[in-house]
Amino acid sequence: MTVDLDKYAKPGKGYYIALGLEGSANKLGVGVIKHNLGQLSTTNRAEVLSNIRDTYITPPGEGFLPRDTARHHRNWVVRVIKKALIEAKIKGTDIDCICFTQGPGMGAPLQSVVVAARTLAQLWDLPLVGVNHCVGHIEMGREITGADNPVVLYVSGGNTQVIAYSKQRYRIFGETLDIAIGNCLDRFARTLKIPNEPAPGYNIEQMAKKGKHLVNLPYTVKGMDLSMSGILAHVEGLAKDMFGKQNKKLVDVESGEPITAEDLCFSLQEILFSMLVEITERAIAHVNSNQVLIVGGVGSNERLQEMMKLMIQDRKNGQIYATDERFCIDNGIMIAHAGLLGYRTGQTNELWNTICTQRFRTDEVFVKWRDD
Amino acid sequence: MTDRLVGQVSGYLPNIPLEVVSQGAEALVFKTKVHPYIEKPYLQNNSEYIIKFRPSKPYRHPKIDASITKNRTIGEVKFMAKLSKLGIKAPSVISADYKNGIIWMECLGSELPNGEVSSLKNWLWYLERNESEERCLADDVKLACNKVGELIGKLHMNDMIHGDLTSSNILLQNGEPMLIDFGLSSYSGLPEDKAVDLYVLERAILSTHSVFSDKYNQWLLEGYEAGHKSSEFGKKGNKKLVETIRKLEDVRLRGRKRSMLG
Amino acid sequence: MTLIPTAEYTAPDVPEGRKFYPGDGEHTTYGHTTQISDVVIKAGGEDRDRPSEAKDTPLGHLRAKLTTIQDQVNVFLTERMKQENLKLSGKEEEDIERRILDDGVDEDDVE
Repeated sequence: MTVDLDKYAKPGKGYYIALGLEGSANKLGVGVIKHNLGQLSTTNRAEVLSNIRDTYITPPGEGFLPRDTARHHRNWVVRVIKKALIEAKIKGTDIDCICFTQGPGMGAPLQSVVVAARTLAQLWDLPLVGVNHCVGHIEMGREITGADNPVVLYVSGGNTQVIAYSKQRYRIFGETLDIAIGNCLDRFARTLKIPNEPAPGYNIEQMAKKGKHLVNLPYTVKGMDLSMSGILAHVEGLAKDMFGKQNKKLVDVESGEPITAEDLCFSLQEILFSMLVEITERAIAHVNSNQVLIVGGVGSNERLQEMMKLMIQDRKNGQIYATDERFCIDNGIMIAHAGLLGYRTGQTNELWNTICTQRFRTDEVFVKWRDD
Repeated sequence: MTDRLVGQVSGYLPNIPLEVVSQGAEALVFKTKVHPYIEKPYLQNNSEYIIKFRPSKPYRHPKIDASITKNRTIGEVKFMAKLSKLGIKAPSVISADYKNGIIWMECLGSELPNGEVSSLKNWLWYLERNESEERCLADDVKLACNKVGELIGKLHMNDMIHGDLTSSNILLQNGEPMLIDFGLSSYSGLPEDKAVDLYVLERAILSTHSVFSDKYNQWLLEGYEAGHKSSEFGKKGNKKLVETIRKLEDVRLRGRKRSMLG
Repeated sequence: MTLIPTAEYTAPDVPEGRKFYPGDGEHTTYGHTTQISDVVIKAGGEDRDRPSEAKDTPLGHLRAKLTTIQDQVNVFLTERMKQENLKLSGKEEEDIERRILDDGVDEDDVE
């Protein structure tokens, strides 16, 4: 049984266009998506008309404060929206609905972007659709890769979850018990004073490629959950010993060679990603699946993708799906896409119901557009 | 399961006929009719045995891989030996090869009408798919959940942590639950560690058996409490129970209130 | 055409309401309550996110006046939060505003 996605279509119009606004963390994204009438399928794909992003970057050693991030979004949102409309070659009147991230994320940036969404909705007299950020990632990942019912590893600056669909909800099977993976990597980048441009995680990844000695770090998987704060404290301690006042020299036991900052990045990635792949495999075995989809900013890490691939190859008919940085890293198009799916099944948010929330769990969303 | 893995285990166990039971996340499970050293062992089931094999994981760094395989295999065997000493129901160990990640153990559990192994998960899924809602919440389900909770309570009273409590890792035999899969097990008297153990199970029930998870979790906790109040533990049981449950509330709150800051 | 934005604030303890007008004078898009944090500048960062200047058009003037109003509202609300805090805990240091904007604490969790 499939869900009728055209009950709310405008008479005489053969397609839908949605504008999506994302700003739950340090990326401001605006995207325009088009769905033709009918079920989405390999022959009727969603069409990305534009997908523009602008990132708030801080100096090395600094994280992004909600206050300044919100300011970045406020001061760029009009320009980014204009660019997205021009690239999509559409006018406000061509749009069916304005979609915005309702959470989870940082409060102040979320609130600054929803103001833009409300303004557009009133300017063009369009309905608003609030979107769960995580569901945005999942739906965009499914659409781009064609994975129909995968176990999803969602890894970003604010989230680390292993998710599987069941009975119209995306259910969380495993997640971090403390900090998120992206947060862990970013914080380590700050300790090492690695630049935040283009992204701290990306720079760690490049350094890790040059590392070769594995430093001993704790391995903390708890069932399908994991914990990362202890590992971070451990590796930060090593970094402080090496690069702080003590200036301690560490050497690799086997080769006698000195341990470098690159080795620390390498070791941190190896241990964290092993844990991520393991909990993903646990969820796959638990729900008898053989597909895995990686979404979220950390999902663009090539080593993580490689490790996941090696894992899934050892499973019967195993398949891995991943997207590139256009869709992995926070973006507006995923909000437009997931919001449009909601809109096509009757979801619109009245103005009073567009308040954003920092905590909005993935499993709170009723997935009306799926019925498998 | 791929040929590479089957080839690997056959290399370690030449001439042992193996029947594949399942591919878990970290281990392959086989059945065999061969006992490695006795003809008529003193076991509940002496016609079939389980061989659990932890293959090397190509995605892990070889050092991480070797250490995990060895530590988990040793950890699991020791944990099972301790359980058997304490009389907490779990399969008995027959033999083990730490380096290659192999454990030979007693074959327990039974088959469900659909041919699947009688894990708590498979049983509950079987009921949910084939039977009525009343059946899914019937007295025997409640009793089974209570008994599982009681078993975990007993485990925790002995300062033993399972580390991977899910409905897949609980086996039922004639309505009696037993625990399996101790690769992530540890020993700790800290309420925090026990609380995380319970939280992991609670979440697994919520995601795996979402329709009835409220009831199932409630029954599990009732059993857990009963396990602590058993006379063998005296007053100490109640004290530990209160500490762990208080911590459990903390852990749950942490889960919901986790910072989303980047 | 002249567009003049106004704002109005009411709350149970401010039943008469409080109205904000941009007033005469210079209006620009650089609000004094909406500058980048000192920490960023101190750490060697530059302000790449300054708002663009207001154009000499009715909408441009509206933007500038809105910024003035925004400053007024921010000052008013910050003061109110301070007073509220003082009443509740007797301490000023707690600084709810800073916790929400710099530490990302959820408003609902501020006690």
